[in-house]
Parts: sequence; structure tokens; C-alpha cells
Amino acid sequence: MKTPLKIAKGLGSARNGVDHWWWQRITAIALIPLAIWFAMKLVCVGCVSNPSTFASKFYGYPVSLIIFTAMLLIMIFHSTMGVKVIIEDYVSCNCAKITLIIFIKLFAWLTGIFLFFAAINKYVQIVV
Amino acid sequence: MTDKLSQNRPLSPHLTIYKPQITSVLSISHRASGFFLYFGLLVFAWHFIFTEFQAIAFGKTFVLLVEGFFATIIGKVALLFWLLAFFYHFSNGIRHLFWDIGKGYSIKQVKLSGLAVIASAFALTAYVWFYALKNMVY
Repeated sequence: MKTPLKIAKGLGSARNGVDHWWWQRITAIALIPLAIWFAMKLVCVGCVSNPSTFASKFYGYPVSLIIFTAMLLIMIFHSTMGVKVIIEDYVSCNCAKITLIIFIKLFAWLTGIFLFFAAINKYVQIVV
Repeated sequence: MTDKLSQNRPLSPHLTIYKPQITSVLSISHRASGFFLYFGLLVFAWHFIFTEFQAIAFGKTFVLLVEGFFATIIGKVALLFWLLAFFYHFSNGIRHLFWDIGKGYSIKQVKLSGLAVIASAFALTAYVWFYALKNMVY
């Protein structure tokens, strides 16, 4: 489709493919230290004798909570981009494809915003 | 892909007749584990959100439902698989980043790094599972 018809029909390159690829890598790099932090946190929290203190030990400190929230937000960003590619690859019906992509993107924003405010709520509990 | 001619064309690369190889199996596993992790992440995130905001409709129910599920054997097995998927995706993701900077493309290197990824995924899962989560009861 090399004629202006491609614009009318919405076909051809969207001209932002590199952006997606690039952000997928940037978030991947950011998630390496965060995943290590998460695993170490699991180990050091999980060995406590009383499991009921799990949550409070996990993000009961301001810095832990901030890292935890940042990790989850970047994970949501990273995984939503990944699932978008999966949908693009396996859903051939255009209508379902676009609907699903809009849905996962909106859901990611919803989750991220709620997560942010939940973290603020938790932060206030810890600090005050 | 709406016209009939394109619909009946054969698929490439004929998955049914291809012998599974470490390269192809690890490649699709990266995608599969990522897809699986996506749902785990959402449950994890919303569990955190609803724990903070239990007044939201279904908030408390959701929290109890999730914690009840992970208290069962099936829940624990799911958690174990989530952990395995996490460390597999983590290890293989690092392998992918090396490819992105142009390293490790020879057949031998690809096979070796593939084996390293499998070993690392299982080792990390075993370590975290046995040292951290086996006693974890909600």
C-alpha cells in the first residue's frame, strides 16, 4: 500500500514501531535490579517466623514502599506492551484486536492510577 | 486478511512438522511466561490496591478470595509456577538484552545461553521457594 489509500484505509506503518521496541527494552533494563530487589525481599521477608508480618515487613518502610510501587508500575507498563504484541500477533480479526488493545491499555492506566493512590494511602499510614 | 484467497494460504513455518529445538521452545516460552506473568501481576497489583481500599465494592471479597486461593494446594502450585515464570522471563530477558547489543549470536552461544537460562530459572525458583515461601501462609 504505497498510495494515499493506505492512509484512508488505515494500513501501512504507524511510524512508531521503534518507540514501542525501545520502551520495551528500557523497562526491561529497569526491571533487572527491581526484580533482584523483589527476589531478595521475598527471601528476607519469607524467612521471618511469623507469616502475619509478611506484608508489614515487605513494604512497611517508606523506601521499600516506593521501590515496590515503582516496580509494579514499570511491570504494568512492560507487560501491557508485551501483551499488546501478543494480541497483534494472534488476533487476526481487526475489530477484536483493536478492542482488546484499547481494553488492556485502559486497564493498565486504571491499575496504575489505583496503585499509585493505594501506595500514597499506605505511605501516609507508615509515616504519620 | 479479509479476502478469501489470503485466508486459505498455508502457515509458515509449519509448526506441526518442525522438531522442537531449544531455541524455538525457549523463544515461545518467553512469550508464554510473559503472558502468564501479566495475569499474576494484575492479581498482585489489585490485591495490594484492595487491601488498602477495602471499602471499595468487592474490595474485601477480592482480598479474601485471592488469599483463600493461595492457601490451597492449587494456589500454591500456581504460585510456584508464577515464580518459575518470573525467574525464567527474568533470565531469558537478560539473554535477549545481550542479543539486542549484538552479542551471543553463534549457534553454540545460543544453545549454551539457553541452557544457562533454564538452569538459572530453576535454581532461582528453588532458592526463593525453599528459603522464603514454603512456610508462607496467608
